[in-house]
Amino acid sequence: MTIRGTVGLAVALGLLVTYLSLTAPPVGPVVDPSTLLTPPLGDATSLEITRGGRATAIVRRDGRWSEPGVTDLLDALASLRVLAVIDAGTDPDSYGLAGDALRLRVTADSRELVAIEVGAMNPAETGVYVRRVGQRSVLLVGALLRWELEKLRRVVSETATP
Amino acid sequence: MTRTTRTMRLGLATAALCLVASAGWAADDQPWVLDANNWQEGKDLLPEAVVKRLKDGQYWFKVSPVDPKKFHDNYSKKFWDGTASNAGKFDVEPKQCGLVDKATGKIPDYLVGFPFPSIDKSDPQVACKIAHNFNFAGLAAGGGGATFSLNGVDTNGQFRKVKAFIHAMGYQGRLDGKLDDNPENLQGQAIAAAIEPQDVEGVSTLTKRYWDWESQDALWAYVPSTRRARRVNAASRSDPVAGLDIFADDLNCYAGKIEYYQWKLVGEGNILAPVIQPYPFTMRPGPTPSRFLVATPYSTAGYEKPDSKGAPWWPQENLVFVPRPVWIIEGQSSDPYYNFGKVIMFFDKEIYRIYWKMVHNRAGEYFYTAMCAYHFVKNDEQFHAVFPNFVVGVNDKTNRAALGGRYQESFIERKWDPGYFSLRTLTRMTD
Repeated sequence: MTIRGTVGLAVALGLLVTYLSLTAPPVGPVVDPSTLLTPPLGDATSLEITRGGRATAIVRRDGRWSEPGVTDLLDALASLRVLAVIDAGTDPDSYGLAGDALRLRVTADSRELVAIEVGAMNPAETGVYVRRVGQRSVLLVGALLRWELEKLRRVVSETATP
Repeated sequence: MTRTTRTMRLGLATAALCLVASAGWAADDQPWVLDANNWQEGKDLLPEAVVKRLKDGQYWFKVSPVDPKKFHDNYSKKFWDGTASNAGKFDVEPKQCGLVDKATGKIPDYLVGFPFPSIDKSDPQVACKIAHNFNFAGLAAGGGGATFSLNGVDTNGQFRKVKAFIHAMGYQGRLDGKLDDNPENLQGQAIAAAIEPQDVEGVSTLTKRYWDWESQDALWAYVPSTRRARRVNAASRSDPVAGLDIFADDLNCYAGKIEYYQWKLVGEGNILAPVIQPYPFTMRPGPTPSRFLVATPYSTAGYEKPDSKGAPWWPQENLVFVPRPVWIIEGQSSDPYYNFGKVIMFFDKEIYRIYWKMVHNRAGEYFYTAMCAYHFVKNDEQFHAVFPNFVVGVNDKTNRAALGGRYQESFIERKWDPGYFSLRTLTRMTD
């Protein structure tokens, strides 16, 4: 075989490998991003939690959060899928979304990534009602959010200085 | 002061201390019932989803405090001696939580007892070490089996029953010592098969767990109608068994390989630990010199007992709850085909059994709680076993449950024929 033929075969092989790697099926089931509660939160630099008029701000500097447990909360938030959309009408209180509901705001520098209100759990306690700030619809997401918020609350109250 | 007087005073002081300690324990040792009337006393002793049902009157608990020393001795002295001798010998590799022999930097050749006798909360790998201790707690007996039932129960009663058996053989952690003939380098292997009803009779699985950090379990499933044994993904342990609200991964509350999960310690506390009785049953000789039989009472569930109270799936008798200190650990599978998302588990701090687990799905939705009840077997200080007696799996999303286990007779096999755990056995079971 000529050198030209060998080079041709090598090029064809390279193209085939590139094609296969680009069109390789994803590992594991694919999640439709439109069903997720939040965009990816890997860039987040600040988390604000407001509860009963009291705000706690946790920031990330040099890649480290000022409180442990924030990464778990953000990972959970970013993985939550919207399980149901409910038109709350004029009665958001019945979903625990009254004026004093817990508020969660995540920003990347000054860019807001997500801002939600967190309400009550659903009757089966498998999920929790949330609402994007400024929007009318109530969303049902998994109760993992509540577990992670409770974990963070315990950490923050343990590390808070009186 | 003479030496005799000093010795006498020291003796008296020690005796007084012992009396005070035992009196302190005795003050809290009376059994009591936790139910809807005093549910507040249980709110920090149970997972949240369980407290809700306690409060509603669906569940109640016969709480039986135990002498901590006596409970500790449910495991044999040989096991605790093995644990003590493991101090400082092992570590975990950070990539996938594999157990490491510090002397060789490789997976240990063989060990008995807990690999990590002392647990340091500040250790970044603490959860992984707790998980390895859990694994070795279950390996001590080396093998056994039972015929058991799976009962699907909803608010109207039982809707499905499957009778099945499981036979298991271990190579690692055996109190009876290392088996030199282990050509496949296994940690253990098991066969499980359905016996009744007829539509599932003969459906069976063979599992082989390799003693390494990387390999997935090898799992084969045999369906008599096709007469083929096919290899299936180890993640299928998170699929419902026979369409019921129970999963293969509920055995011991976690039945996977330790390396499959990412483990994280998130807290500690006390929990009500379900056991058939707080102290060991004895085993009696069986049909062969290596086989021993264990009789345990049946925990009747609400649906089986007229005028019972509470949820139809709730055990009515032969189950007590022992308050135990626990580590609260999160586990999450690295396998994208595993159906569970974050799983929260409660590990006994001393004997490393998981009593409860709360399961979220991949969407972050909580849907399932499993309660794992155990029994202990011990005749002397050279050997013991701790077996999963039954699991109550409750799907809080569908308000259905399944009970798995509740066998009245089980056996311990101390010398299995390894050839039994083969595809040949699987394919000939219904011949």
